[in-house]
Amino acid sequence: MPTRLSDRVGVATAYAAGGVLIIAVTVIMSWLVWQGIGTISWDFLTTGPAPGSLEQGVAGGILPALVGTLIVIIFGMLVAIPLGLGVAIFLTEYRQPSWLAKGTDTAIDLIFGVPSVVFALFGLAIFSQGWLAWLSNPVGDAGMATAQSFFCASLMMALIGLPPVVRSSQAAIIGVPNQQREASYALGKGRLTTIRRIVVPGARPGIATGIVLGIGRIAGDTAIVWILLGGAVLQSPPDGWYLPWNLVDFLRSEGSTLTTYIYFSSPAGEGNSPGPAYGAAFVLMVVILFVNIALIRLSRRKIGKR
Amino acid sequence: MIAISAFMLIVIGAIAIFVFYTGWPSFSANGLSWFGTGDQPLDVQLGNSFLGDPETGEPSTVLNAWPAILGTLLTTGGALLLSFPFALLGAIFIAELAPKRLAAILDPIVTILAATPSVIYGLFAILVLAPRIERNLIPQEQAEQLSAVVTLTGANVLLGILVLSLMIAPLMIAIFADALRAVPIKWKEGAIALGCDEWRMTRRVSLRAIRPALVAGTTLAMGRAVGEAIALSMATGSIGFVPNPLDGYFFFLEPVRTMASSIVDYSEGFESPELKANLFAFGVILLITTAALTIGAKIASRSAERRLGGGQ
Repeated sequence: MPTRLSDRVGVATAYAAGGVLIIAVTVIMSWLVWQGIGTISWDFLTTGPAPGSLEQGVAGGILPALVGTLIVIIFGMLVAIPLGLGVAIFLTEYRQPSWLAKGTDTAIDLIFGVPSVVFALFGLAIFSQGWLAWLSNPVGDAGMATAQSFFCASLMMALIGLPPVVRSSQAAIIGVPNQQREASYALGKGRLTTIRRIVVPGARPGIATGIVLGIGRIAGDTAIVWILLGGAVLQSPPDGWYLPWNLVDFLRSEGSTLTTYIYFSSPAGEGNSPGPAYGAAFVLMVVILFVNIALIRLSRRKIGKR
Repeated sequence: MIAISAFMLIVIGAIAIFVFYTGWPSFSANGLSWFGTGDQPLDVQLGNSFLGDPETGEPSTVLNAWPAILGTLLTTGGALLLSFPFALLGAIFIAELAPKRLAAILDPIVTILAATPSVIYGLFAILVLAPRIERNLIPQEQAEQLSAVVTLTGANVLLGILVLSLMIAPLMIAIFADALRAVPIKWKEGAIALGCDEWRMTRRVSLRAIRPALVAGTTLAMGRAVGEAIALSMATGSIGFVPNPLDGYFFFLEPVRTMASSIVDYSEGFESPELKANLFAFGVILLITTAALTIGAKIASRSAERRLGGGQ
């Protein structure tokens, strides 16, 4: 224990801060579990909101929201992964021309910093133009579009998921030993083959980390979904949405995700029914927890490899 | 790869140009008074730009955005003031003082808290904290006195500050703790050898060494706070009100609406070009602010790398 009074006070406040942190975590998590677990049931996860319940408050299950979260993650990452990997490879293996490298580097930082609500705003203005009506649905005959569909939301979500994919892949690609590249060149392989066969496989854990981080960001975003997927809770997805030939129609339709479901059914939204909101928040937290467990596993694997 | 990178550069450039271009009419119609207080409440102005001015029937272009700017400044500033000292002390606790086992548990927990979606914090704020604030901090008589001006509920500036602090404190703790651990061990050992205890060593050596990381973490957290739309739309009461400092203690119990949550709250009236321009003008301010913060954070973290890398 330090001897000076001021030092003692300092140490005491640091311990107090740690204590407050532990208490805050315990309170929030136990509140979520306590309130959420009672709502969770098989029906809650596998049915849609009950018919006629949306005016007085939300009742019934969260299936459409759960499906919506999955769809937005899948299609957002389908765009973000190839783009992000491409940018990462360019920024590490090529870096020519250098102005493009510097510009892209800054652009990725900016995309990371810009609030998602600005992307949502941009998406709303772009996708509501008539010539992009094939991404959502046309409005009347004024040459406008609703700009609210899984396509629109996923495309903007790709921007949210992109920066972590780029940064993690970049770090992992730098970590691939140079001897491996040189060995590949020595065997007469070209640059592209080397990247495809040596660099990308070697960087796989880092790329996976980036993908998981991106999934976490997409799963937690509300503003984009609220503005670009529709600010309401739908009772159910359209009939037969899971059939492959209905996929395009389904992706052009409005929907909801866990985050907008929570927002809608909180006292701030129109649904105002805390019970289902707690349930959905619990499910969303479980998703985030899985994402983080995956991240910890991945980082262990990386350390084990070296 | 070059094509993909060029494409990304074009996309982000197009977004910036488009946001500026669409928001410009709002700035040019109002000039510098865009940043002013104005005669009418913000919500009336935003409503008029959508439904039309009650006198002329035409959608009005008038916007004096000070209430929204003030709302953003108050919530972000308050949250930073509240969470910076807490995050710094918490990081010192985790990185230097806590027993190894406890630190190993707290580390992933802080990461999970930083990754928790803001809507969950918003839900916690509005369902758990708001009723308690309303019950315990708002005396009935004074609330009635003020009810002619504004209705006081549990959703207010204070709750906005609290929910933002919940969001950004874990982020700051994670960054600060990482930086504290990156301080070269030689420096720490040197301080101990000179007779410092752990606290002195942290204060005199580590805290000085990680100063750029403190700046970087704080600017990142600030960018998050400025752009947060949903949690604040839930927690601040979402009324474009200007809290009156003369109300003293009640200043923090009055509702506001930030720029980011205005965008979410009014996004349904997008068919009106006037409202669209106004919302994009908010977008322009958010874009400029967060871009400046991002670049600031990058400069700070470069200098952090140089400082901590140079000692080994």
